[in-house]
Order: sequence, then C-alpha cells, then structure tokens
Amino acid sequence: MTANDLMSVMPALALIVGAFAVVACGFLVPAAKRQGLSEFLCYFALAFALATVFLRLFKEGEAGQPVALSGFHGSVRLDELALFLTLAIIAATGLTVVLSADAMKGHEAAQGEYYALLLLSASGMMILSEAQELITFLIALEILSLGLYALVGLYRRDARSNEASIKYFVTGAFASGFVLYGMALLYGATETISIPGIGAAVKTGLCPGSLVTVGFALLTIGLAFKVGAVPFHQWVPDVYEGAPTSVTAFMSVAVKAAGFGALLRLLLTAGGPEAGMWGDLLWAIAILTMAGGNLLAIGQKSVKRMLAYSSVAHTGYVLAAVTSLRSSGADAALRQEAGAAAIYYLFVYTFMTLGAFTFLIYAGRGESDAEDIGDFAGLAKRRPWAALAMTVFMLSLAGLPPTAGFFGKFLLFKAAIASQEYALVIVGVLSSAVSLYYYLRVVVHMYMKPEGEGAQERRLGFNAALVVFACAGFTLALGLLPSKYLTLSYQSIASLVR
Amino acid sequence: MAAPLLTLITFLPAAAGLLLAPLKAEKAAVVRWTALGVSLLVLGLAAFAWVGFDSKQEAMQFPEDHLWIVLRDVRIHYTMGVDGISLAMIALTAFLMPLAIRASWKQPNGFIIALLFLETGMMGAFCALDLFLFYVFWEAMLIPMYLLIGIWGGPRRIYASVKFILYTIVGSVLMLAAILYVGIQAETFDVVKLQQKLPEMGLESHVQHLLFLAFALSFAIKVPLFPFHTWLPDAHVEAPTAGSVILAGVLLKMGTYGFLRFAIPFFPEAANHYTPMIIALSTIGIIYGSLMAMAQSDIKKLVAYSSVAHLGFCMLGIFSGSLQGAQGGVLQMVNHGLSTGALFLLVGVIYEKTHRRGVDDFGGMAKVMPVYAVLFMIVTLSSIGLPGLNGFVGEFLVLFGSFGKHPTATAIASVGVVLGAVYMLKLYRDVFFGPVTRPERETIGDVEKADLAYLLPIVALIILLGVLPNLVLSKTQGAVDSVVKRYNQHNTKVSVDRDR
Repeated sequence: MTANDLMSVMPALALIVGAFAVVACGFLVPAAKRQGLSEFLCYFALAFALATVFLRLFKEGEAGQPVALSGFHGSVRLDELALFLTLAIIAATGLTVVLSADAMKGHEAAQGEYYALLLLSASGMMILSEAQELITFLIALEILSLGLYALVGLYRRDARSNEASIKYFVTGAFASGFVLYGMALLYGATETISIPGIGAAVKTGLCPGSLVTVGFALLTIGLAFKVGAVPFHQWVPDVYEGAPTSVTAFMSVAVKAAGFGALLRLLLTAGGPEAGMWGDLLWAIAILTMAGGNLLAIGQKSVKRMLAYSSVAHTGYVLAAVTSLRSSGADAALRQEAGAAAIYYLFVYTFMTLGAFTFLIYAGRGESDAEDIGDFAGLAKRRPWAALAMTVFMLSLAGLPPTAGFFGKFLLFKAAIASQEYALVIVGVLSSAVSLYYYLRVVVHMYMKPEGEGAQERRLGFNAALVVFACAGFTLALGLLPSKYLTLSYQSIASLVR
Repeated sequence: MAAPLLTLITFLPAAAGLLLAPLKAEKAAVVRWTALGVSLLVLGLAAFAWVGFDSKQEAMQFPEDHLWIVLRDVRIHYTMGVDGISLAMIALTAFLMPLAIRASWKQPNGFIIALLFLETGMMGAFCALDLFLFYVFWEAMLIPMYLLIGIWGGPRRIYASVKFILYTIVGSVLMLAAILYVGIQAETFDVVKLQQKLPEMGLESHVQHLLFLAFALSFAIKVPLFPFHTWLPDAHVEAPTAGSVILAGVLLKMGTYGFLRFAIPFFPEAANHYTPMIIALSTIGIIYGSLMAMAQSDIKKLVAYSSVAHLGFCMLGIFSGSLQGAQGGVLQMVNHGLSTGALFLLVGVIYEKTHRRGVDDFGGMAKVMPVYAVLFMIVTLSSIGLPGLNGFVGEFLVLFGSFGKHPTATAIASVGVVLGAVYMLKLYRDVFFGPVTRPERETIGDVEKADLAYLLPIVALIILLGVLPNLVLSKTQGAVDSVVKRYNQHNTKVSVDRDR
C-alpha cells in the first residue's frame, strides 16, 4: 500500500476513522458528554475530508495536470466526479450532523451508534462514487446500505421505525441481488471486473452483446431500487415515513448523490453508446418515475410521505438527463451536458430537500415531528421567517424561478432536448406542473389557513434553524448565480468524457 | 456608462420590499409611505424613459447587457431594453402601481411588500430581452400574485389562487420546453437575434407550428383567450382590490405582449397559419364575454367577463395583419388597463364601505354618492368606447384595421361593442339610478378624499388619452409596424407560393 493509495480514499478514510472514534467515545466517555463529543468528532472528520477534497481540487489549478488519482491497482479513482460528489455528500452529512444536535437531543441512540453509522454510511457513499471496479462497487454499496438499514431502525421502541428498517433491508438485499447478478453476467461476458476494462471490451465488439445488455440492465435495476425509481419505489414512502426525520433527510439526498454518481460512472465509462437495450429501459423508468412520483404525491396527507414521493419524482428528473446519454451517441459535448445537468441537479436537490425535511423537525409539536399537513396551518403567523424558507424549498422543488430548482430543471430539460428526447421533456415539464399543486398545498396551509388548535411547536434550538436557513440561502444562491457550481459539475463530467 | 435605467425600474421595488420585509406590524405607516414613494420614483423613472425614448429609432433602447450564466456554447445574458410596445406597458405598470398601493392603505405590511415584488416581476418581464431572463420574471411574478389572492382574497381565495397558478404554469412549462428547443437550435436566447434568426432558419413547418402553439398556449391562457379564460372570473372575484387592478391592468397584457414580442416575430409563418383560429376564438371571446357579463349579478365578476371581451378586441387587432389594427390592439391594451383598473378601484371603494358588491345590493347611489357617480360614469363610458374618452380610439382602430381581412369577424365583434354598452349601462342604471333600494346605504357617504387621491389621476388619464391618443400611438408605431411587417412578410410568401 502506497501513499498514493491512501490519498485516493482519504475523504472516506477520514470518516471511517471518525466513526470508530465515535464508537470508542461511546464506551469511554460519561453519558452526559457523549453526544457533544460525538458531534465534535464528526465535525472534525468531515472538516478533514473537506480539506482533502479542496486540496485536490486546487492542485489542478497550479500544475494543469489532471486531478484524478488512482489507487489500489486502479480499483478506485478519485477524479473530479468523485470529488464533486464527495463535496455533496460532505455537505449532506455535515448538515445532518448539525441538525441532529437538536433533532436527536437526549435520545439514547445519539450517544454513540447514531453518529458512527452516519459517518460509515457516508464513507460507503464516497467509495461508491469513486469505484472503478465491480467488487469495490458492490462493497461500497453494501457499506452505505447496511449503515442506513440500522439508522432507519434507530428508534427501537417505535413500531413504524422497525417496520421501515425491515422493509428497507429486505428490498435493499433484493436489489443487491440484482446488482450482483448483473455483475456476474458482465464479468462472464467481458472477463474483467474493471469498469473501464468492461468499456474497452464492449467497444471491441467481441463479447456477447446480449449478456452485456442484460448485465447492464440488471445493474441499472439494482441502482434504480437504491435511488427509488418507479416501479422500484414501493419501499420509499414507508421507509422515509418510518425513519427518524433526520435520517430521512440524510438518506433522501446522500444516497441519491452516490447512486447517481455510480450510475453515471458506469454508463459513461463502461456503457456508452454501444450498450443497447439499457437505454430504452432507463427511458421507460424515467418516464414512469416522473409521472408516477408526482401523481402519487398528490393524494398524500402526510407531508413526510408527500416529500418521499416527491423525492421519487426528482429521481425521475435526474434519470431524464441520464437517459439522454443513450441518444447523445458519441457526441462528447452532449454527453457532458447531460452528465453535468444531472450532477448539478443532485447538488441543488441536496439543499432543497434537506431543508424541507429539516423544516419538518423544526415545525414539530411536542415530541413528534410535523407530519400531517394540518400541523402547518397558520404557521406563517407564528414563524414568518421559517415559513418563508419552507416556501422557498417548495417553490424550488416545484421548479419555479428564481430558485435553484428551476435552474436545475432548466439544465436537465435542456440536455434532454439537445439529445432530442422530446417525450421525456414533455412528460417532465407537465408532471412538474402537476407537482406545483401538492407543493403549494404546504404553502396554502402555512399562509392561508387559520391557526390550528393544539400544542405549540416545540422550541428548537439554533442548529435546526441554522440548517433550514443555510439550505434556503443555498437554494436561492444556486438559482441566481449558478455559474461557478456549473463549471464544477462540467469539470466533474469532463473527467469521464473527453 | 449611462445609468442602468431599466434595471432601476425593475429592481427598485424588490429592493424596497426586501428592506421593508423585516419591519413589524406597528411600522405600517413607514412601510406604506416607503412603498408609495418607491413606486412613485419608479413612475418618475418610467416617465424619464418615456420622454427620452426616440420614436424614430428602430433598435431597442436603454440597452443593458451583461453575461449572466455561461453554459458552454449557449450563454445566458442579462439583457434588457425597450421598444415602443414594452415602453407603453412599463408606463402603464408604473402608473397603476402607486394607485394600487394607495388603494391598499389599510392592508397589512405583507400585502404591500407582495405588491412591490409583483412590480419587479412585471417590469422585468416587459424589459427582458433574453428568453431565459424573461421566463424567470414571467414565472417569478406569479408567486406574489398567488399570495395576494390566496392570503388576502375573498372567501374562495384558496381555490381561486391555486386555479390561477396551475392554469398559468401548465401553459408556461410547455413554453419552457419550446424556449429550450429554440435556444438550442439557434444557439442563443437573445430575443432580438432570435427575431431575425428564427424565421430564416428554415425549421420544418410542423416544428414551427408546434413551437408556436407552445408559446401561444401559454400566452392565450394569460390573455385569456376563450376557452382558456375560466381561471379569470374566479381570480378577479376573489382577489383584493389592488390584486384585481394589477391582474386586469397589467398581468393580462403579458399575454398579448407575449404574442407581439415572441410568438408572432419568432414564428410568423405559423402565426399566419393559425390566424383564422385565433381570430375565431377572439371573436367568440368578445361575444361570450359580453353575454356572460350581462348575466352577472356580482359587479366584480361582471368586470372580469368584460375583460375577456376587451382582450378579445386586442387579439383581433394584433392578428389583423394591418398597422391600424395592431396599433389599435396595443392602444386597447393600455386603455383596458386604465378603464378596467379604474373600475376595480371604484368597486373597491363601495366594497370597503359596505362589504357588498352585488348589483342588487345597491340602487340609487347617485343620490348618496354624487362625486362617485360622476367618476363611475366617466369610467363606464370609457369602457364602452365613447368618443372623447380613451376606449373609443382603440376600438375604432381595431375594427377599422381588421375589417379588410376578416370582415365577418369584425362584423360580429362590432356587435360586441353594442353588447358592451348594454351591460355597462345596465350596471350603471341598476347601481346609481332609481330610488335608494336599501335604507342602510343612505348614510355611507360619498367617496372620501383619500380615495380621490388614486381615483382622480386615473380618470384624468382616461380623458387625456381620449383626446390625445397619439401620446401612446406615436411611441408604439415603430415597434408595432415592425411586428406587422414580419407577420405580413410571411403571409405574402405563403400566398405567392400558392399562386405558383
């Protein structure tokens, strides 16, 4: 093992070390101080990871050399795509840790395993986004999933949390089976587990095409399970609803960033224009996901479930851009555009969704988080600024300017149109018009309904508020001045497509 | 570098809104006076632009251009500029806004702030010369209007506001798809360049038609063209006074403006192709709107349906293919903004006093409120199109200009003019003449001085434009002429092809 190897997984390594330190602190430190110290360790690990990411990103500016760093005999590659996704994962994890200080306050689980699992799961995501080889790919996928299964079931005495955990575990294991089977077929067809190697083998045209196609299709289905695409989405609402809200916030954004990163890498380095049928499969999934997610969200009374279905719908929008890769053919510019749009949208999505879920904690009453739409009645009168922030999230999720959600969708649909995927765009824009209806219902309740009876919202500390307003700020900033992040997302894709 | 006049006009209100937003309810006086001051300042700047505008120049004036977002080959600019048409719309907006703010004097701070943001959205949409920028303003402006109706509206406000925003969005998103297609094909979002480039690019005919329809649907909903008008009566009836004034006065003009600025110049051939359909729908709208207005017992609903009819005239003029007709259409846009805005303001006055606005709730008001009755009379006559008041010239030009090509439609539309007189005069008779039907109305008193502050300016302008319509027409002539030329160029091409 060389220094190079270590450097290539440094961000993930920082989190793993942090996670073990948190576990150790659970044993060694008196209970009263555990949560505070665990938080501190998380911040420290995340800051360290962030520093390594920035160091790599800046290195390019000096020498003009590629940033990419391969390690462990080419099984991981810390390139711009991985760095950018790592950035999104760090942001999501960091914000989750910040809000957990309030959301998990006094909870027994918060004294040890919660933070450790969070960090471990995030480290799995980071590795997944840089995996260059199928075995690493699968192991990273499993690390991130196992952490999440446990996190979802964190409230041991809550039946819903338990149910969610089991559901997630069973469907997740099922999905892993698909992924594994797909990998086996790909290995059988191409005799290699290296993702670029598979790409090269496919290009030669000597390996059996049907095996490759089915292999890719199975891999795609497995990942579609993980990111919650229709018709593999059934677990999403139950799991999102049952999990502790801070965990929901974390998994809804971070898993998508990692999952789509892996999918992009797979399709861009190994799949490409040669792989036939998976393109049509992806196309169908994208259409179903956009339409299905939005239509199913309409009828939801619980805002948490509504946001779960909305996250399915947003998976669909990103898939629309990913699908555009199939028809952009060998045109590098088009492929870069589609990939960059997807990456940018994931970044945007992180902030608006995390903010919205945090708001549920923020607006909670008594012991429970706000879930029923009725809990929001008249909220704007009591908490005008927080309601304004939630309005920003809702409008951004619906894709109304001047928010980031609009600009993100603009890029996604622009990429799709440039690749002549008109059906995707028509379904996408119409279903996003539908989505406005259910997002606005939250605004209607906050601003236009009289205040409800019952307990006052709990008084939340500084941290949850900080997350809500920071996310709102990012959501506006990414919409008004997107150039810088846009350049980054182009760079991250350019590392794969030249 | 000259001062960025249009940017100031656009963003001053929003900047003021941001500054005022944190103020508590006790500071209501500060909020109102600041808002009024800012809107008057914007009016002043608009007047400055109006005077400085050179009618002879063909290019867009007061141009501003900054690179905003770089998307590799496609660059999105912050481009602003005005021609005669947008100048007229900016002036109308700037004029109506202080009146709307003054009429909302008793509303809470949030209401006033929403109005300020709304002004930014509208001004931006009229000034924007980049499709992306236009779309941002076009949709962003919906949010404050939605909140105005939904929070401070009447009993069915939630239904009305959601219906309003959903209707508009469904049209808008299809336009967004078309904008993306156009931007990718032409490799620019610059409106002026697109106006020159798109008709010459040789896009396939069916593609042009689809794109035109995508744009047209979005604008037709906004106008609203029959049968896309059903959101309008609900929104108008439920909206608070200032909301109705701005909705009728400015927002509806976004639709006709969109046809003039985008749909027709971008796709003149398709515009010609669909002209018969649009003329037919406009004519149906004129008759249908008038008939519906006759049947209403709610004054606001009556005015709302009259808007459908009046906007039908605008569309008829714009698609007449003649300079007179199109000029009339544009003038009618301004006129409708003034007279319908004034009507809503007037209805607001008695609604404030009585919390009623049914025709049956009033009667013999001329005895109780003589000054009010005079003002209402002038506005009624302006809406009918009496010579000497603003409505006449516009209507006349529209009918005159469209008769040549669409004689049947024009003949039917003329019936609409008569119907317009019927429902407006009937309204006036029922509300103002005869004995006072309800004794409790005896004591409500005449219009107050505070209300005159916003009623008199608008009535004065109604009379002024009736006498001197050239004030507007001279400014808009050049821009309208170029739209008509683009429209007709392709019309002749088609007919020449047919002759061969």
